[in-house]
Amino acid sequence: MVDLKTILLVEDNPNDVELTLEALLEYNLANHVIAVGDGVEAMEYLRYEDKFKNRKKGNPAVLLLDIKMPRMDGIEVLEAIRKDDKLKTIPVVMLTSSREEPDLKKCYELGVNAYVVKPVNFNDFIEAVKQIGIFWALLNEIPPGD
Amino acid sequence: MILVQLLYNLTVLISLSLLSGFIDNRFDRNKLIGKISQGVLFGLTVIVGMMHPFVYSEGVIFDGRSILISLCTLFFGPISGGIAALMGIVYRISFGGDGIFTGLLVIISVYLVGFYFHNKKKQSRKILTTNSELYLFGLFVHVVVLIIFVTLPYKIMLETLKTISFTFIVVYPIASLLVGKILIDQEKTRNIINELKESEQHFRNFFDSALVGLFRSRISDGMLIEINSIGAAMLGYTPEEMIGKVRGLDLYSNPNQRNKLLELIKIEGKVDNFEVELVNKKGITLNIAISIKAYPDRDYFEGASIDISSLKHAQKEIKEKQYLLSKAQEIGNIGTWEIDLLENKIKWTDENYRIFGVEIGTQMNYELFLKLVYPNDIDYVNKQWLAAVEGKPYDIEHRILADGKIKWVREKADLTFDQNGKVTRAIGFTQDITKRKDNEVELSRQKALFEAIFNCIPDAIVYTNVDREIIGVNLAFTSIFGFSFEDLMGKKTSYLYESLEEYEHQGKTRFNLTATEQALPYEVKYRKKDGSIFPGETLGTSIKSGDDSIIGFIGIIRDITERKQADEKLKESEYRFRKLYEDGAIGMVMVGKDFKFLMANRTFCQMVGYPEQELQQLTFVDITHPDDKAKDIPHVKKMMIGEIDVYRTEKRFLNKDGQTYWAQLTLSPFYDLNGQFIYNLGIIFNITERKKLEIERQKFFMLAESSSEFIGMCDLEMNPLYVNPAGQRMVGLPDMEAACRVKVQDYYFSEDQQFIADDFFPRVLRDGHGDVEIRLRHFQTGEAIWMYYYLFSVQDDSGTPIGWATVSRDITERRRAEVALRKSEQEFRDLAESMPQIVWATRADGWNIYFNQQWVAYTGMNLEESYGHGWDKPFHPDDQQRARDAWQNAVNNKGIYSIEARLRRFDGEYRWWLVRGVPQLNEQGEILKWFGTCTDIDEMKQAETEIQKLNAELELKVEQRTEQLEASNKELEAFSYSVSHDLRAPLRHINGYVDLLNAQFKDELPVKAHHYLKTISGASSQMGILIDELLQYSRTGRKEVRKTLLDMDALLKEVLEELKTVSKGRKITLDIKELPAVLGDYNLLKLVWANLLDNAIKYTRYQQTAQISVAYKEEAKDIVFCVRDNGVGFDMKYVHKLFGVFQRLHSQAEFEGTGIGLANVQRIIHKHLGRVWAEAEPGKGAKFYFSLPKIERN
Repeated sequence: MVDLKTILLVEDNPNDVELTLEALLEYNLANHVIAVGDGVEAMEYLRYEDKFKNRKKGNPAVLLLDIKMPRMDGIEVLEAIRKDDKLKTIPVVMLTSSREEPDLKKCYELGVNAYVVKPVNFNDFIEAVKQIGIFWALLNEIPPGD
Repeated sequence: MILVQLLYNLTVLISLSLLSGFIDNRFDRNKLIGKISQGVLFGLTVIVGMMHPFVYSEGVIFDGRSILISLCTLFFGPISGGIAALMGIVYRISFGGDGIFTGLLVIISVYLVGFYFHNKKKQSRKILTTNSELYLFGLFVHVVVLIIFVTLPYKIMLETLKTISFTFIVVYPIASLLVGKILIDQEKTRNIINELKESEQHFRNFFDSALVGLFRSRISDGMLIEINSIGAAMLGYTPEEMIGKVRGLDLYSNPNQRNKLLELIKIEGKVDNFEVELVNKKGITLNIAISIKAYPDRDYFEGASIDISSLKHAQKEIKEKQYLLSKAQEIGNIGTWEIDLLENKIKWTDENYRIFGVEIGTQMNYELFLKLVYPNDIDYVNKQWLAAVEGKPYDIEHRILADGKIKWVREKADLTFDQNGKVTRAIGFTQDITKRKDNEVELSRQKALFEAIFNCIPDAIVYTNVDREIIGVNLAFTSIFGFSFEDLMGKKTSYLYESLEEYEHQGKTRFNLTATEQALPYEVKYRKKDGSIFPGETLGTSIKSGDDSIIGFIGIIRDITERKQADEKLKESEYRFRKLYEDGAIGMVMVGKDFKFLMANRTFCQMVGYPEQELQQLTFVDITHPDDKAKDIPHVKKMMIGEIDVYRTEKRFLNKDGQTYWAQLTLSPFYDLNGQFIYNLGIIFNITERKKLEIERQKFFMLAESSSEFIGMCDLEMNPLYVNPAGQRMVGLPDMEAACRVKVQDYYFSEDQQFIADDFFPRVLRDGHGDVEIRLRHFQTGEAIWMYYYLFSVQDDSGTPIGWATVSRDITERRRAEVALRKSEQEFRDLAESMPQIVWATRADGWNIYFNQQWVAYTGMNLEESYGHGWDKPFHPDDQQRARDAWQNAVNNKGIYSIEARLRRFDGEYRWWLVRGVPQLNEQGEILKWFGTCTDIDEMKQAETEIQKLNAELELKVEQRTEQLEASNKELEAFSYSVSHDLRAPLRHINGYVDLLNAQFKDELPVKAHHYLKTISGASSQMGILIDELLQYSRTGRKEVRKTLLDMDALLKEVLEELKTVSKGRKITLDIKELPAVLGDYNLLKLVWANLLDNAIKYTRYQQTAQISVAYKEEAKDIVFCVRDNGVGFDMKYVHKLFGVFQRLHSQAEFEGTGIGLANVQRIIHKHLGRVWAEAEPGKGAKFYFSLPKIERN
């Protein structure tokens, strides 16, 4: 069995969290998902701060980031990660409700690895999330040193 | 019993034989030890035999002794036989008995018989070798023995003979034969062995001392088994170094050669004299010839080798030498030949063939050679050769015919004589001497020619050796001097001179070894035989041999007595002529073909200032004035070819100082007898002075003629003598004649005539000159010509007046301008005064010289105050500096001065004025004056201020509005952003959970619940679509149009490709025209086409065959595109709703849709500054139009 790495899901909407996990269930990927509610928590997780002080070491295999979130939004998280030498190699996939040109542009400028619009149709949504999970958590070779 | 004994004897014999062989092998029977050994052996055997004899009676015994002793002696010689016999005798004596005597006799006799035959055998080995001979020998021995038995006592004798005769005659010879045979065989074997040994020794000696290399090597591994010292030395080794250590096959330097050799051996079993290259111990390659024979059954090669390296080298050297010889012969044109007189064969070298033109290799003999000799020379050559054979030397030159060409050859031979003094062979050479011969012939021809010339020359010619002794004279010499050649033989040239002094002076100084080559003739006085003296023009030179050394002298003497006399006369007349020529008043020159001065007399030289020598370096052209060259040269050239006889001209020369020199030149050409031009004789008169005067006069004349002033002259009767062309023109007269026909008075108007005739002219005559402004009358038009009339009196040399002259100027224009100026000045003033503006004028420096009344009226300043530098006084203090700067700027740029400034009114109020000034420039672009105006702009200025204020307010408002608009735009963006995120999320959730419900609890839910879930899911999907389209609509509104040049055809194609999924399964006829390119936003226009075509496909859904067409038409400024379908159409009543957001003309059930598409289309087209509209009828299809601006051509 491949040693699966964690998927960090940053999503403020519990429904979306549930649906995303549902989608990842099929490949047993759901067990490796850590879901946090906003950007601040995501950064705490990544930097072993606060309640994540004692979490298991290691960067997640991929970060699934919603854009619109309270406190610190997805784009800010992306920016913070890319500026942090310890975190900047983590693959980041934006998983967001709509395709807004300025958001898309900004994300790619910041070096996002993928930008995925959550389809309204649930089957499509499941399919999309599954593909992301398979690709980033199973197939992608993570950068050395993690 | 006898037989047993016999057998016993025989056995002993055979054993003996074998033992004898055994000994013989170890001890050479030719040596003493061998002989003794054999003797002892045989002796012992005899004793053994005698110990067991065949005893006939007491004392009478028979045994094999006769056989043994005879054979021993026969085969091993007297010594061995003697020993054996002696031993037998001793033993027999010890034995005693009756037969002792006979026994001893037998021994002795057989010994003697053996000895006898032994000697015979020594002489010839062939004796006693065959069986029968051996047998007869045995028989003979035993017959002898039987005869000896006679010596026995009679009784015994008879008995014995009776008993043993048979044995002795039959058995013993056979036994002898048998034993002898064995011994012979042994002997033979031994001989063979000895011979073998001997031959081996010979072979070994030969092998070691052979002069060729010999060797043997194994076939299987190539190893050398044997090699003699020569063979080894050949390769730089000793045999010990090679045998068993060197493989013969490794010695070959060239493997191909080795392989070839091996192959030959394989096929032939041997090779003979095969040349190979072997490498010696030092690694040097040698040429070796080897012969090899193979013995495959014995596994070896045997071979012999000879070092032929030096041979090869020598061969090569010989070849090279032969080549060199042949080359040398070729180069020297020398061939060699050899004749064998006995066989009549001639051998030629290649060059010999070449000389004779015979193909190389052709077999030659004497007859063939003769055939090649030039026919006229054959007899000569043959005779010479026959003489040579008789012993005369053979060295001849004759001609041959080689390839049809006549060649000269020299042949020389060396003959070889036998003991009888007969010639057997000869070796000789042939040399091609054609060239030399040709030269000789040419030389003799030239010599003859020279002699003929020598004697034909009318001048006396004498030539001498280096000591000036006369060697030869020509015919002319003898006739001139009167000496015959015999008279002069051995005489020196001094003999010919008038006196010894003359010789010393002339001859000796010129005809000597150091004299340089003398070319110029000189005059010498000679004495003839009759003693008379004559002058001889002498030309002499030394004669030089090929190496440049002087070998003699030659002198050519011409009798010039007559010429001298003629010269004297000529000199005299020439002197006279020369005097005339040199010092006459006329310049004279001789000019040659190339215009060179051949001669120039002193007068001419003085004229042009060049000495004659210098002049001779120049040409006629050089000293001709440049302006006259064009005229002179063609004429002179014509004279040279005889077209003109004489050329006379007045021309200018340039003298040495560069001064022009006028001369009259007369040139006449001189020709030789053939009419060829030789030179021009030129005669030159000095006309400079005359020309100067002429030119002066001409100058004045020209001045008057070309002057634009009226210049005229009249006599005292006032008859015009001269009126210049300008004067004629002024008064309208055609020429001088006409001008002189009228009286001076007639040039004036009648009212002025009296003044002129009675007052002005007499006054001028009195005062010398005078002037007046007066009109002349134009003779044609009667117009008045105002003149500044200057008149002066003309006097002759003595001071007596002879008439008047005038130089007058037409001043009509000036007078006209003065009038006009006055008029225009007045007009300007009138205009300036009538203008509502202030008008002013200043000098260039700003000094005011004019103001109109308006200035006075406004400023309240009077003109005196205003003129001068006070112009800036009325300016508002705040504007004064600005006004001065603007002024300075205008002055600097010579441009317009313009300023708006406040001027003080008389009552102290300031009003705004526009002050403008224009500079008046002269032809040099300098400012003469300024003219300007001041215009009251006060009201305009106030209005402007008002407008500015209003504009400022307006801008402020616009700014505020823009800010508001931007704010609302931002709000809208934020709104749609929220909508896209926040409205979509719940929809997704609804969908998600419905699906989860379906997936996980499908079976537990009632049918109706399924229906509800489906409805929920459908509704949420529809809402999702609505949101997406609404968002797109909103984005379209916000989006900036990025225009590029678009290929509409390509764009449409793309759209149709994307719509394929929609039109799947439908029967659609597309009619799409080729479309023009437009400027537009790619993505937006793509959306337009997608919406319109999607609609067309959608609304034709219920037609059997959908017909959709796309076309366009060009209008003045736009291109109108049209999408037409045959679908359900719509009622034009509702057309106004068509492009509204969320407006639909069909129900969702009929045709699905959101009502956003066409709204989007409209928005995009409007953003492209186009229009969009539709035409339709229910059930009859629809037409959607949109227009886009045409691309502007530039």
